[in-house]
Parts: sequence; structure tokens; C-alpha cells
Amino acid sequence: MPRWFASVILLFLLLLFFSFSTGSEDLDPSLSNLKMDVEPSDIKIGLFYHGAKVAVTAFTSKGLDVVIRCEGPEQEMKLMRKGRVGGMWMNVEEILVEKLPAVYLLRSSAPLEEIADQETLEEHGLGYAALQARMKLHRSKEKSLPIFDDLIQLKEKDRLYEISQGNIQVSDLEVWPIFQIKSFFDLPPKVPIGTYRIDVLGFKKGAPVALGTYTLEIAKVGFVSFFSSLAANRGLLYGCVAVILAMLCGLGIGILFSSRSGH
Amino acid sequence: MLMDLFLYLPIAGTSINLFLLLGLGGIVGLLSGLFGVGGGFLLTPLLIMIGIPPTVAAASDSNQIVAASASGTFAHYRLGNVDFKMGTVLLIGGIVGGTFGVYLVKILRAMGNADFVIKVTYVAMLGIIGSYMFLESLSGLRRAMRKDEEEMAEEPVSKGPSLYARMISAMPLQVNFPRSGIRISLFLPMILGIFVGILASIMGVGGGFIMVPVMVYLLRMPMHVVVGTSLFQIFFTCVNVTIMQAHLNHTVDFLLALTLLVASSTGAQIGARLSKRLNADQLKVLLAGIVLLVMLKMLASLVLAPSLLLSYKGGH
Repeated sequence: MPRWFASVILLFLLLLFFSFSTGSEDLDPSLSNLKMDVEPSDIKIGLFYHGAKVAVTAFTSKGLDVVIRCEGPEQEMKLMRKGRVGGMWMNVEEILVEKLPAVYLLRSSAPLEEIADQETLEEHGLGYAALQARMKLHRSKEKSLPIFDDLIQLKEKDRLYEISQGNIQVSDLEVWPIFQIKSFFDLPPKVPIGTYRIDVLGFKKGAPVALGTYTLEIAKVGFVSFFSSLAANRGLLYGCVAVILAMLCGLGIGILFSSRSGH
Repeated sequence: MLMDLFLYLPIAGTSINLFLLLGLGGIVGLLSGLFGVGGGFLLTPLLIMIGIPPTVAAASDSNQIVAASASGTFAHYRLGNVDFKMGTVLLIGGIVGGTFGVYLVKILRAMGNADFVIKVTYVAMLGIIGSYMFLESLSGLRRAMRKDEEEMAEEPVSKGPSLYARMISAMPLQVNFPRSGIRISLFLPMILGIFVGILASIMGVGGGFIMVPVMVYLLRMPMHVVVGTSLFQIFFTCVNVTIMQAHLNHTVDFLLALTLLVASSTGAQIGARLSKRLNADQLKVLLAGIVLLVMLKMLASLVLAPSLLLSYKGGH
């Protein structure tokens, strides 16, 4: 079989595969559909869970700038701001933050400001400025200092927020003009459970042209799930059981020690 | 490889190295058995430091103190070091004071300066108690050394009872506490229990490190009985706190508490045995040193500028 004929057949099969893509949901109709895959397909938090490495693979055409974003569920956050009172540092203000994702991890093939203008980035929720635009604050003091930079630092310290450039591998599939791109996200142990959304956006000359979306579920399982739901739904029973078990354990160790020492 | 074993804590929502938790629990349990303190004032900040959310750290710490204090009380009971009569009187006072203190904190929070009052009270109490204990026990150690050198050549000069001793002996309702070997008015431990209960609820701790000096200096109880009796009282306080926290705030992480308590109960047993080998002044110097270190750390957090002005609500 001639080599060019084999390439055409392979390209046709790939295009057919793309048209039945299951990973992309909730797409902007003006953008073309990007085929993508996420490994592992979901994350189960068990007793020995210690974070997860998530691999994102997508297929794009040549010459696109790529942005990959992993966003966790929106979460209310109660924060305290410290201030100086009489020469001492203490909490001076309570702040309720809404409309911010619990997790925001972003990889881009080039610096964001080189990929698109600020308005386009904000429209697609890319970059910290976009998060600042959608964030809602309820502050206990009317005239107060801005907190956004400190808030980002707080989240980055927990590895729940991160923006980095250049961590995207591009490999030629030998089937022109399809390229495979691959990137990894390190989800820290502290991630909240819920529905996460992973988006791959392709930009050309500052405008978005392709989008792929994947929904990643993070859930507690087994013993971890059992204890979480017991604590949340039957607090009193849980508290009494915790106290009785703690008491028995303490006394048990006490008896063990006293019998060993020959009393 | 084994040292890389991490445990996911369901309520804290994060994973922590198993051996780090066991190590922390063991050290705090040792202090608990040695000095009769619950260790909450030490372990809660340490847990926050390793990444446990502050509310979960405080609540789960109470749960593990239930085990450590049960283990410690049992060990001291077998050694004859628990004055149940005195412990019960102090406990009743502590519950009355604690309830009043909770309302006081509520009023302070409504006024908007609870944090300031709590931190300053903490530093002041730790500073006063720590310094007094440190100086007093140091001079006790020096006296003992001088006595050894002089081989007790001279008879001690009897000074007669102090003003404080005369005052407490004049109070009504004098009761014998045979285990402690003292006879005092029932009002005194009751009032002191109320006072410690108020302070403990303002500061958000069990109060062992305030109760121990109160028993030693104001109730004049022997140090070894103080340790056992303090643990007996801490046990009941922490049972109450654990159940309330689990019921109202859902912040008790039993898996975290279980890991800590296995280590702390073992540490408490070793501490109780060690406490028999050290003399009272040595014990007091060590406890005073720890109290002063915690005070300095708190003072530094009040005076030095923090690296981040924001923190999650619920921390100290």
C-alpha cells in the first residue's frame, strides 16, 4: 500500500474519531471541538490518598497557542485579615469570599499576555485578573486594604492555585497536520471533593479557535467516605463513639503498661 | 519507603505523614504524663503548622486528650497520685467558670475585640505563671543543693505560717483532703476552679497548665498528687469539648485523633514513670521552661509582622 494512501486513511479515521468525541461537553459553538483525554478519568480519595498526578492529552493543529486549565468547584471562604493595633499584629477584619474556584491550575504554551489580550483572557476566565473580576467580597470594614494578592499567595502556598508557562509537551503524530499536546497537573492532598472542569483552549492570532472540555469527578470512597458522612450527618453519635473509643484506647494502653511493669 | 506512608484524614481533608503524627503525639503524651497538662496548648499550634485546618486541629486535639488523660489518670491512680475529692470540687468549679467564660467570649466577640483580649490574656498568663514557677523552682533547686553541701548542719529556722496560710485557714467550711494531706476551706478550690474555668474558655484550652500552678502554689498540694488530679479533671473537660465540637461544628477528625492518641497514651505512660524519678523542683523548672517558650512564640506572633496578612478563619 502506498505510504500516502495509508496516511490519508489514518487521517480520515482520526477525523471520524474526533466527530464522536465524548470528552468535550458544554462547548462554545463558535469554537471547533478539540479531542482530549484525561488520565486518571476520576479520582477516588481513600485512606492512603496523597495527591494525584493528572495527565491531560489533546490533539490540535499546528501553530496554535494552547492553554490548559483545571478548575475546582466554587467555594465560600471565610478569611481573617491581620492589622497592626497598638504595635501588635492581630485579626482586625473578617472577609467572606464568594465566586472563586477552590482549585485553579493553569498551563500555557506561552505567557498569557502574549496569547491574547486582557479582554479575551477575562472572557474565557484565564489568569488571576479574570478571577479577580468575578470574585465577590463581603467585608466587615467598609474602608479596607485590597486583599487579592494576599489571597492568591495563600492559595498558592497550599498548591491549590498555580499558573505556569511552558509545561506543555508537543509531539508530532507523523500524521500531518495533527499534533499531540500533553501536560500534567499535580493535585495536592488538600483538594476539596466535587466536580472539576479541565479545559484545553487553542488560540490563533489572539483569538480562541478550539476548545475541549473534560469533567473530572473527585470523590471520597470507603472508610474515608463513611467517616465523613457519619461526622456530617450524625455528629452527636460520632462524638460519643469518638470519646468512648479514645477512652478505651487510653485505658487499654494504661493496662498494657501496668501489666508489663508487673503491677 | 515506609517513612513515606501518608494517611488521608477524612475531616481535615488532607493527608499527613503517619510517622510525623505518631512523633507529635508521643512527645505531647510524654509531657502530659510528666506534668499533668493536657498538652492542647502545644499540640494544637503544632497541628496547624503541619497543615491541619485550625478548627479541626483544636477539636481533634480534645479527642486525643481524652485518651491521653484517661491513660495518664489510670497510671497515676495506680501510683496513688489522684485526689478524687479535690478533683471533683475543682471540676464543679471549672464547669461553672467555663460556662460563664463562654458567655464572656460571646460578649467580647460582639464588641469586636475578642482576639486582642484572648491573645493578650494568653501571653500575660503564660508569662506570669511561667516566670514565677521558673524562679521559684530554681531557688528551690539551689536551696536543695546548699542543703546537701552543708549536710543539713543547721536546723531550719521556723518562721511561722505566712499571711496567705493564715488567711485560708480562717475561711469557713474547712474540709480534709487526705490524699493531698491538706485541710482547707471548700470555697477555695471551688473559687479557683471557677477562675481557671473562665480563663480556660477565654483562651480556648483545657486549662491544665493554669490548674497545675494553682494547685501547687495556692492549694499547696504535693506536686505528684497535683499531676494525677489535674489529669483526672482534664479528662472530663475534654470529653465535654469533644462531644460538643462533634455535635455542633463537625470538626472532630477521629482518624487524626486515633493516630495521635495511640502515640500520646504510650507517651503519657512513660511520662508518668519519669515523673516519679524527677523531683518536684526539676519537674516545675521543665514545665516553666515550656510555658515560657510558648509565651515567647505567642508574643513573637503578636509583635513581628506576618509574612501574609490573610489567614483562614478559625486560627489562633
